[in-house]
Amino acid sequence: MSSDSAPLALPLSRFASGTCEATTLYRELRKPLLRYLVCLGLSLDEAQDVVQDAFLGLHRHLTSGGAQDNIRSWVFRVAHNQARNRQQSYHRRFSAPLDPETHSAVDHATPERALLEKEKLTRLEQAMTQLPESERECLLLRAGGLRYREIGEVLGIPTSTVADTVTRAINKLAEDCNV
Amino acid sequence: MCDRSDKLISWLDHELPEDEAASVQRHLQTCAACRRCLAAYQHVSDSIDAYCDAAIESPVRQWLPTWTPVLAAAAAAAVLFLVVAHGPIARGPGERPLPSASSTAASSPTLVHHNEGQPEVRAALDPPPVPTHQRSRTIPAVSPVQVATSPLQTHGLNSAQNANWIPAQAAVEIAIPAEAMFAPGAIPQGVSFSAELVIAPDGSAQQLRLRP
Repeated sequence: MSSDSAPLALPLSRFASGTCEATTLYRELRKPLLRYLVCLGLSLDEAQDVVQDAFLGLHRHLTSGGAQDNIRSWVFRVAHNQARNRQQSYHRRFSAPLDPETHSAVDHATPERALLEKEKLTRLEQAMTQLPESERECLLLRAGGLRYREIGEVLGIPTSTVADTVTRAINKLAEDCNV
Repeated sequence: MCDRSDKLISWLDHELPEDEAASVQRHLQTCAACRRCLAAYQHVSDSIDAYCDAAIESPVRQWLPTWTPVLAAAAAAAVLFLVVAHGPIARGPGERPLPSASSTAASSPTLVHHNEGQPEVRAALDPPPVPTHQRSRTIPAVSPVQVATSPLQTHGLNSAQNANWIPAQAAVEIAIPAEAMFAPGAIPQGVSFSAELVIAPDGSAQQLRLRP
């Protein structure tokens, strides 16, 4: 972010307007956004920067009287586009597999169970790598809690295409990795 | 495979129209194959969630309690920019490489020094350039306005070199209460954050990062 970024030039009188709604959205969307961006391949620092920029953009959007419809997909779209602008990071996730030691989301009830869960995540990751980018993005946005309509708005594709893409991708994963 | 199975994922995601969803639900009660498919789809969905959680599992620093402090940090960084940009550039022999107490105050009349004595300035000459996130400083939302800096680090320069030295990078701590910068109520109580501003040798702002 450079010194001539818009936040530095915002009139003070405008800081309070739109703040409440944007703050609520921030609390709701921060984690799903971070998760989505990290899964796309951004580092955590990069993802935090992108989320921050997206919400600064949202603040400018709201205070300038921008449309308040479909704000969730608006924020995701801004973040998604910024992630795409960082192409090098964007493709990193699926060229460098997750560190097995970071698979802490797995069930560690027993060592055997933990091992099985790790293997399952590894198989899923390999299967995700084989998916076309559009299918992967649809799945990740779906995992972020977006509706098909919102996913379509983020990716610029029709809702019916999202439904077909999600169905196709999940069928592939179910067949390929038997998770 | 049952011809209804292509609707199962949309049904799972509550994306079907009401009448169609009711039809799929009735069908599921009689079709064991679709129930198996549905279980598999649900399992894949759960696994994707677990995968996303695992991807972000690396240590996450505590995040901003709300996003609004970002704006306050930007304003604080603007003041910091004034302080740093007017300090290290164009100084003669014997002068300090970063602004003195008086010059800092002159740059921004609203600032009051935190330290009564000699102002402390922390500067770093290359190498090593410290990653910006490691140079972050927490700026508490306190009153009155504070400026705090730390001792100059010469990194092996002798005093003669140091006298004419212009730092490539510098870090200065500034604490500004949100109330001084923003309209009442714009910033939640107790919020703190830091702004890291990297100043180029020509005095222009090179990079701004905002951190909790």
